[in-house]
Amino acid sequence: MASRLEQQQQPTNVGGENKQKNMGGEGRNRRVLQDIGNLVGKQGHGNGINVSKPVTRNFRAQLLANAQAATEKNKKSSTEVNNGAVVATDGVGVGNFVPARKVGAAKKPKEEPEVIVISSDDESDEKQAVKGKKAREKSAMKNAKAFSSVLSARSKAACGLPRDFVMNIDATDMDNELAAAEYIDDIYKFYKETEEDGCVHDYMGSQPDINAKMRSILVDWLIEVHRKFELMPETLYLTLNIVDRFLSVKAVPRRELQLVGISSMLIASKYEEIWAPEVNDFVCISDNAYVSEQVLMMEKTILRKLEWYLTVPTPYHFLVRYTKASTPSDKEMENMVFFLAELGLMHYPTVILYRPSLIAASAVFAARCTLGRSPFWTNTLMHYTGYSEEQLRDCAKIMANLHAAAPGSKLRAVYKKFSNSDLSAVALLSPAKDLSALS
Amino acid sequence: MEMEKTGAGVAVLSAKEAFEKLEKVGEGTYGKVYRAREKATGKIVALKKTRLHEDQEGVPPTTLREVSILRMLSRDPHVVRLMDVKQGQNKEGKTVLYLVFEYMDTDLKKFIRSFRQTGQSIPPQTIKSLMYQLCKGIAFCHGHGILHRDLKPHNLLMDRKTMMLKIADLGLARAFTVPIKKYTHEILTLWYRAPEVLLGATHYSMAVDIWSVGCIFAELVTKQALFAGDSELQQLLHIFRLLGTPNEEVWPGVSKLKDWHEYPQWNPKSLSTAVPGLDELGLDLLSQMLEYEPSKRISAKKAMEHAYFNDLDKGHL
Repeated sequence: MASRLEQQQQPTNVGGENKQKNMGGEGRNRRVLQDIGNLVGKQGHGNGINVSKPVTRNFRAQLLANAQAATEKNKKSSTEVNNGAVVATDGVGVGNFVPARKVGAAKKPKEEPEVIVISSDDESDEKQAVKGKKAREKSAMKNAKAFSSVLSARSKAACGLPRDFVMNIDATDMDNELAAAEYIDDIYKFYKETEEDGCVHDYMGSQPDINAKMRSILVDWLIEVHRKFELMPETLYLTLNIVDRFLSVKAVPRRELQLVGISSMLIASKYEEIWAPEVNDFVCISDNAYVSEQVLMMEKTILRKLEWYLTVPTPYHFLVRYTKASTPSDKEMENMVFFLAELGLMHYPTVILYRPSLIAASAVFAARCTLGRSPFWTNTLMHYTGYSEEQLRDCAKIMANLHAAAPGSKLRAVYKKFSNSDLSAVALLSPAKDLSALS
Repeated sequence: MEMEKTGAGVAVLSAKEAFEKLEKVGEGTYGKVYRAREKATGKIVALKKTRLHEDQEGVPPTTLREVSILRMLSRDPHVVRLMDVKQGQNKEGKTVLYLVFEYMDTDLKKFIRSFRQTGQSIPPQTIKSLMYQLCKGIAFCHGHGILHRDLKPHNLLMDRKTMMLKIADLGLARAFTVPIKKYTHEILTLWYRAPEVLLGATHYSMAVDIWSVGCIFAELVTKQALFAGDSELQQLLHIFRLLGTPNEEVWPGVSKLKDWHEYPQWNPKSLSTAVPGLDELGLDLLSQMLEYEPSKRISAKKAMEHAYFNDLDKGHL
């Protein structure tokens, strides 16, 4: 995201006159956002509005009127431009957000534009600045917009951004065949339709010899094994999916629970990895508690019981997509999302209560709350996940509580893994205090 | 027929009890393929026998992927239907897995060979219909997050009567997550292998399947493999002779691929010299399937919308 200093150097274009420019020799015109209207100067906001002045209702109304007029103007012009920078969405379409070009930056043909995401990061500052005035005007303001909303509306209007703005997260991937941009919507539609197949009901009632605590111990150990073998994340999520689905259809004596775990990881590794660990590796890592014949017998039993269904959407499939939708994505955010998701997968009630896509979306929501990303839930995230903030709050709250409890827990694999600096040491950050209070 | 259920009190027949083998129709990496009759219904099926190496590593990854992926994709009319999976034992007491498929009476390799032997051309409308079905099947796979990675005439089953085509042999197929990760480049039969794979790219995409589709398209027209190399180097040289030696201009990043060397410089020839029987629209589609740069290669989804297929009756396909 552009720093405030960089933003200040950009020319101001309050009226939202977005001139057409030829983007990097692509041979087609795109509207470029010449200005982001919520620029912060030393003294005031945006266009020389000094927040230390009292904000009268008159002025506020005038601001609103200007903002609405500008929005109308932009709506009109954006429908005239075929490949418009911003497209108003009705919950179905997705707009291409083309960012502002930095002044003085040399034109580089075929270079991807830097994506500058407009978020309301500055709103808290604005709210602080007008707090005193707000208190005095409280009764008169019942129907009026808060100043921060006005500014945000004005800035969006200046940029031609509708309030229900949705970023097209695949816009910059059209020339990247590894992003599968042409099929991505089909693929995720299919994942959403079939995720029920990979879900499990509450099976502990039909397991006479094992309980949720034992499952957590197994998962904790499998996470360590997964890390030791340096396997792909897909393999871990598929392993846990196989374990849960198998336990939901077959009663397992506790002495065989670890055998189920290593056999599940063997299957998942064969499915996902280029080079799967050998059977003997799994025997060794379980301290020779089983012999290879037992592992191979269990492998066959699991496959037969699951009717060979391994191509199932796991939370991982959704996590990568939803993290991408949480723009601008960064390593810390990504690691926090995966940390919270793995804590969730260790927790039996989470796995049986929520479907994979909801677990993934909740992990993103909880991560944004934890890292103070404002707003906590965006229209873009709502569009790509299909979930509202309300639908995610319960699951996200569980994750935040698990994060808070992690340092003192006996099961430390996830905490230890994500305390590592190569995963941004996200486990060491303070958990989101009270998710239910955040909105 | 449903997958075997192992609920209490349900007797599950072994493959030997359930089927009568009629003849061996092929042999794969992990075992033989038989034409067989299901005793209960008299229905003709294909039995693919797979040995499970219990003394070594258990179920082969190829079998694991093939069965699992087919469990998901089998509902598409252009993907071969996996009807059942049965376990049995061979004479040595080792576990054998039988994959029960719907029976198809030929494959595209045999179909092309039959025309080559009689000296006849495959009718243009037949080629068009087969190509459309192939694109449709591949679009279905790709739209469900699956790369086939071994498309060739031998792996495309056909019904001679209905001219229905079905994608088979998903032993090298794999489900991918987006963005597509690094995968093995030990994929694809040499003649149908995309140049990025031949040049050592470990990150490859759905475009590898489209290259294979392009090679199959040309082969349907000429009844000869388009690029018939006998080594990876020869395969590349065959491609370069026809399409020209690639460079950074036509394929940005090509010289950074792991196995890139300095190759003889050839200029591109017109595709019509190699595929003389193909009309203008067909040549246009073929050229888009054989684009060097993977991101510029047409997708199966877009290929289905190509003008080449405009005069095809797609209702029954």
